[in-house]
Amino acid sequence: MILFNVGFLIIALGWIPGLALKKASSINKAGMISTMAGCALVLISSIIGMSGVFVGQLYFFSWRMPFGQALFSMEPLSSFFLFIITLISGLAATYAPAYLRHYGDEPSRFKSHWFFYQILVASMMIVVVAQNAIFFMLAWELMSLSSFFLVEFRNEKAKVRQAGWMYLVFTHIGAAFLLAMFALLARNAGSFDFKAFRESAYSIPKPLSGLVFIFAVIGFGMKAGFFPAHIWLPEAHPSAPSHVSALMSAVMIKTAIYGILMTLAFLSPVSAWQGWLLLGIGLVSGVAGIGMAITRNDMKSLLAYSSVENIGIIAVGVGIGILGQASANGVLAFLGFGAAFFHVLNHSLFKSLLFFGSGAIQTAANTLNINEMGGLLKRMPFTGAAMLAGAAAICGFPPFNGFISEFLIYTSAFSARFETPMVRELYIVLVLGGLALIGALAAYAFTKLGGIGLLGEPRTKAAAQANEVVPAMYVPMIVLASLCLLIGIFPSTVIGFLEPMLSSLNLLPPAAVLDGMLNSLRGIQLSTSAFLAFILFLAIVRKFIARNKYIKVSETWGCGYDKPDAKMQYSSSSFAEPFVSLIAPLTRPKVVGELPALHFPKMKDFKVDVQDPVLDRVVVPAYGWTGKLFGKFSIIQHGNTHLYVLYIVLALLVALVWGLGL
Amino acid sequence: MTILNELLLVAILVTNIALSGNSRLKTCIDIVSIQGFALGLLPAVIGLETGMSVELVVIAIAGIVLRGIVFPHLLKKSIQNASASRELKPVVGYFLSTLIALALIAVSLWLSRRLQFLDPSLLLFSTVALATIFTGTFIIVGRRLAVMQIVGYILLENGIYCLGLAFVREIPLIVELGVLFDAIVAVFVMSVATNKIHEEFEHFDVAKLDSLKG
Repeated sequence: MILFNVGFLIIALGWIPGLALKKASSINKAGMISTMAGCALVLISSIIGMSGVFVGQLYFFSWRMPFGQALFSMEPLSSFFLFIITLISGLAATYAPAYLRHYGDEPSRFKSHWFFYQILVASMMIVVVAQNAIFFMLAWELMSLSSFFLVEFRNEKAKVRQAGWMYLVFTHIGAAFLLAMFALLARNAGSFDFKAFRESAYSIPKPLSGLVFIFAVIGFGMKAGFFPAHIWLPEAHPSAPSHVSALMSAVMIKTAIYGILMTLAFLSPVSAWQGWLLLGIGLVSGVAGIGMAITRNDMKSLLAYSSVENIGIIAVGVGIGILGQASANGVLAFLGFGAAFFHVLNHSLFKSLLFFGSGAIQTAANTLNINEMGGLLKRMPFTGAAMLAGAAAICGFPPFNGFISEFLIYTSAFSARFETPMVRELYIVLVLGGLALIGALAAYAFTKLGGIGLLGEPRTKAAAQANEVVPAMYVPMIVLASLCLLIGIFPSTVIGFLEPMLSSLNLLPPAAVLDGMLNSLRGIQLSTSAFLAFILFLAIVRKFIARNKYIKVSETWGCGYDKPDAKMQYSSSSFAEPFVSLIAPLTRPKVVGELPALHFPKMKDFKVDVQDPVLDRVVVPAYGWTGKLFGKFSIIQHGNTHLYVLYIVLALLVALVWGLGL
Repeated sequence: MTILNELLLVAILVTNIALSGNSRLKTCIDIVSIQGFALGLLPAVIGLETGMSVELVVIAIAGIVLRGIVFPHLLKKSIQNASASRELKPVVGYFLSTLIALALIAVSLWLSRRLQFLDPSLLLFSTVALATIFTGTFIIVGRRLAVMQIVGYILLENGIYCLGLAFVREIPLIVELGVLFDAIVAVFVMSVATNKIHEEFEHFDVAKLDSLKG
C-alpha cells in the first residue's frame, strides 16, 4: 500500500522539477523519469493487489472533502485496472521524449504537456481506486480535463482545437449523466460511499435500478466510445500526440468499462435486458467501428475507429456476463466477464503498440496517410515487425493474445442456456455471426494498414527516405509485441493470474468447468507452440537450402514488369474501394474528380472522402439546432448596458415586492 | 422626528424628482450637490434630537464635504471639455421620467409600509431612502451620457447611506467612513474614465458602447 501512495505522489507531483528546467529535452527527461518511477512502484503494488491481499480494506487521504471522505481501496478489480494503467503509462512515458523531440524545443509547451500527462495518469489511478462517488467524480473530471489539454497539444491548428472541443462536449454530457446516476444512488443509499451503494444494492426498486443502469451506459459510454457516441474518438486521437492517443485509447476509455463493472455491483441482481442491451450496443459498435476503420486513410483515425470496435467486443463480453448472472449460469458469466477482462488487457497492449508505431512512422516518414506510405517494413524493421504483430493480434489471429479473448466469447455461444430455444438461437446467431463479421472486417482493415502501409514499395519520397526510429521509441513497441505473443501462447497462466479477481467478484465457475476451460486453453497453448516451432523449423530449412545459392532481390509486386512503378500497387483507397462502395448508401461518400477512362488515359485526380454518418447526419445538425435554440437567448444578451442595469433593477424590485408584499 | 428632520428628507425627495426631469448637465450636478448637503446634514439633525456625539459630527462634516462639494466638483471637471451641455436624447423622455420618479416614490412608500420591523416613526425615512435608490438606478437605465450614469450611481449611494441611517441608527464611525471612501473612489474612477472615453471617442454616449461587443 505504501508503494501505491509513494508511486502516486511521485506521479502527481512529478511535473514540478520540470518547471525549473530550461531545455526542452531535459524537461522531457525529467517527466519521463518521474512517470516511470511512479508507474513502476504502483505497478508492483497493483500486482500485489491483484492477489487479493487488500480485499475489504479501506484507505483514505486525510483531506476534508465535501460529502464524505476521500476513500479508496485496492480490490483485485481496481488492481487489475491499475496494472494496465501503470504499464501503458510507463511505456508511453519511455516513448514520449524521443517522439516529442519532433515538436520543436519551446520549453513551456513541454512543461504543460508533462503537467497534464502526469495529472492524467494520477487521476486515472484515483478513478479506479476511489470508493466515494464525489471523490470518483472529481478524479473523473480531472481525467477528462487533463486529457482534453493533452489533445490540444498542437492547438495552433484549427482542426486540433475543433477535435478537442468535440471531445470536451461529449465527455461533459457523459459526466452529467454520471452525476445524475450517483445522485439517484446516493438518495437510495443515504451516503455517497460506494460501500453504502453496495450494501443497499438489494433495496433498490426495479425501475430505479433500470434508470441507474441506463445512465451508467450513457455516461460511461460517452467516454468509452460506444456507438453512436464514438464520434469524438476519430477526431481526438489523430489530433493528439501519439503516446497520448495510445494512453487515451488503450487505457483511458477502459476506465469507462471499469465504471460500468463498478456500477453493476451497485445494482445486483442484474436483469437479463441489461445484458441484451450491452450485447446489442457492443455488436453495433463493433461492426460500425471496424466498418468505418476500413474507409479511413489516416492511420490514427483508422486505429481510433478500431478502438470503437474493440470497446464493442468488451461490451459484448460484459453483456454476456450479465446474461449469465441473470440466468444464474455461472459458466456463461465467467466466460463473458473473463473475455471482457482479457480483452481489456489485450486491447490496451496492442492498441498502444499500434499507436506507438503510427507515431514512429509519423516522425520517420512525416505522414499519417496510408496512401503516402509503403515499403516501411524494409526501412523500419523493428517498428514494422512490431506493428505487424500488433495488427495480427488485433485481428484475433493466433498465436497472439487477441485470439484468446475472442475464443472465450465464441465458447460462450455454446454454453448459453435460456428458457426458450428461440432466445438461445437468437443469442448464438448474434454472438457468432456478429463476432465473425467483426473479425473478418478487422482483418480487412488491418491488412490495409499492414499491407499497404508497411509492405510494397514507397509511394512518396518521404516514405522512401524513412529510417528506423531510435531505440527509446521501438523498445516499448517490442516489449508490447512480445507481451501480446506471450499472452497468446500462455493464456492459462493469465487466467491463473486473474483468478483472485474473478473469485472476488464471485465469477469463478465450478472447479470441473474451470478445469475443462483451462484444458482447452492448454490445448491452444500446445498447438500455437507447435505452430511456432514449425514456422521456426521452416525458416531454418529455408536458410539451409538457400545457403550458397544466388538470390535475386527485386521490387515487391513487380509482377514481372520491366520497369515497375510504385503507382502500380494498390493504394489504400483502392484497397478499401469494394467495401466503401458496398456501404455507400449508408455513408454517402463525397467523390471529387473522375476516374480515368478509355485507352491512354490522361492524368486524373480522384479522391473519395467518406464521412462518418453519425457525425455528418446527427452530430453536426444537432450542434446546429442547439446553437440556433440557444442563439434565441442572445436577445437578452444584446450588449446594451442600460438594459443590463434594468434587469438588475427589475430583479431587485421583484425580489422586494415578492418578499414584502406577498 | 422633528420638523427639521422631515424638511431635509422632503428636500431629498424633491431633488430626486427634479433630477429625473432635468436635461441640463450642470443643473443636474447642482441638484446632486443640494441633495448631498441635505444628506450630510441629516446625522447632525439626528444628533440634535438624540444627543450630539463626536462621531455624528465627523460623519456629518465628511458627508457634507464629500457629497456636497467633492463629488459635484469632480463631475463638473469631467464635463468641462465635453461638447454636450445637456442630454438631448435620453432613453426615457423627461416628462415620463418625472412620472416614473413619482411612481417610484409611491412604490417605496408601499414597500416601507410592509416592512414589519420598521419603527412607524421612520416611515418617511425609509421611503426617502428606497425612493433615492430606485431613482438612482432608474437614472442609470434611462440616460445615455456617462456623466448622468455617475449621477445615478451617486444617488444610489446616497440612498443606501440614508437607508443605513434609517435602519441602524448607530452605525460605527469606521463603517460609515469606509462606505464614504468607497463612494469617493468609485466616483473618482468613473469621472476619469468618462474623461478618457470622451477623449477617445469624442462622445460619452453609453448606448454606443455595444459597438465593442464581439
